Amino acid sequence: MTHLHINCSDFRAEIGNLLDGDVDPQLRAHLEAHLAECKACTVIYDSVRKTIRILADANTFELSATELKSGTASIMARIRGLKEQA
Amino acid sequence: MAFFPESPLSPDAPEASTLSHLYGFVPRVFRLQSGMSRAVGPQANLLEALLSDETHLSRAQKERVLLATSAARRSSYGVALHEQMLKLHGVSESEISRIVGGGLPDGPEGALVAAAKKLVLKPMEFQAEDIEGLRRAGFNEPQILETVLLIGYGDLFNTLQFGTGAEPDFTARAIPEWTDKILHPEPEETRLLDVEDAKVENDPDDEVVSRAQAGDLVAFEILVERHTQRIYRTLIGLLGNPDDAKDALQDTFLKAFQNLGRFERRAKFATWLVSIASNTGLQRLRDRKQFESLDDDGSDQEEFRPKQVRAWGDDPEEMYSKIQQRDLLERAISRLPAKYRVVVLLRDVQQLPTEDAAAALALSVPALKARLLRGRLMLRETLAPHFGAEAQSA
Repeated sequence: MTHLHINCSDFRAEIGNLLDGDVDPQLRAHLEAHLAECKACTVIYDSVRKTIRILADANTFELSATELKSGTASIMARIRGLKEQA
Repeated sequence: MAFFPESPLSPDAPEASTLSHLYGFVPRVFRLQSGMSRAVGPQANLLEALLSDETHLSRAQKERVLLATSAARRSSYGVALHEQMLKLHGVSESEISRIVGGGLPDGPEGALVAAAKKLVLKPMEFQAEDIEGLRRAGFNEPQILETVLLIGYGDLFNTLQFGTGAEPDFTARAIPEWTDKILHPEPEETRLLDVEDAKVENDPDDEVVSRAQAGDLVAFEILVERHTQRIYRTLIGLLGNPDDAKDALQDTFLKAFQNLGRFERRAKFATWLVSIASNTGLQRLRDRKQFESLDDDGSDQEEFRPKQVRAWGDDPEEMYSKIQQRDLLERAISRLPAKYRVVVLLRDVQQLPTEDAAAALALSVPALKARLLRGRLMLRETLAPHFGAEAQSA
């Protein structure tokens, strides 16, 4: 394996790809080696991972069932209006 | 045969060295202007100003613009010259053929070529929205102005070539006939996802879309119900407030209904809808007095320096009730700049695949990834005081 020195800013540029599983095995090994020796990057990596996990589960900006129903009804009313005009 | 006598520029003349520096030789168009040699110097200076500086667009990007300008004007001279320059810059034969044939290259350069084609062939129809297309492809204001200048210069050059009868400096290729479809492209909503010719397979909406296309309103209503949540999130991401997002939601489905006949299954229906929502949301942003720019201002590439580096607890989800957590997240997401907010919502909240999110926002995959990373880091920063281990023990 060729020697490659990963510093904090190299690591942070790759966090997204690492989390999405989008790095080749060699780069992954280098990134993991950096994690093992850098506390700050470990915290950032871990908390970004948790942020994504929370985002996936939190149902943010979800319309309520009532809002969904009334939204669909008014969209369809406008579309029927359009069709009648045509 | 050229219409004027050709004579070499004096090697001592500054324009000879400028042109040789830019092209590696003095193109014939300039050698045919010896009867008005005082006009060659200013042209060489203009070319140098436009081509040699790569602060904004790269030389390869500029040559693509010039190639498209020449292909649109059907100048085999210009096509041969710019093809040669593009090859020197490592651009592939297949990309060159595609541009000459009237197609668009992949990635942000596609927007440069589209702008060149339209400005040359349909200048009266060139509008602010065409410039907006360049912004959305990630180009900043100096790059866009440079593109317009290049197209303007390219047209001058082509006119000079036709008028002097200059024959190509290199073996010229035939320029295929541009079909009606190239000259009259479809509206943006449907064109946006037109990069792949292949139709997508396994679209779960396929059957219902077919019924809706045949005029079945009940089928369209099913599509509205299925996709409202996703479209609403996209619009909240762009617009930042629920009332605007609900209005834009209605407009999005109305536009989808009106354009349904043009949906050709080159993307999934869901992705097509998100791209209409994104156009609708962007139009509203533009109409607002304070326009929150989604343009690439270079900030995505700058390093973001995290300030909160205390460890988080193992189960930050356990620290708050679902309702509190959702409220915290919504406030944090709302504080993100629009260009990061929409990307975080599409990828991390809606879990849209990277390629689909990029296509829907007309961004390149690397541009999308850069914005996603920045958005995630900013969000993490805002949430850290609430989810850090210290907050947990408090």
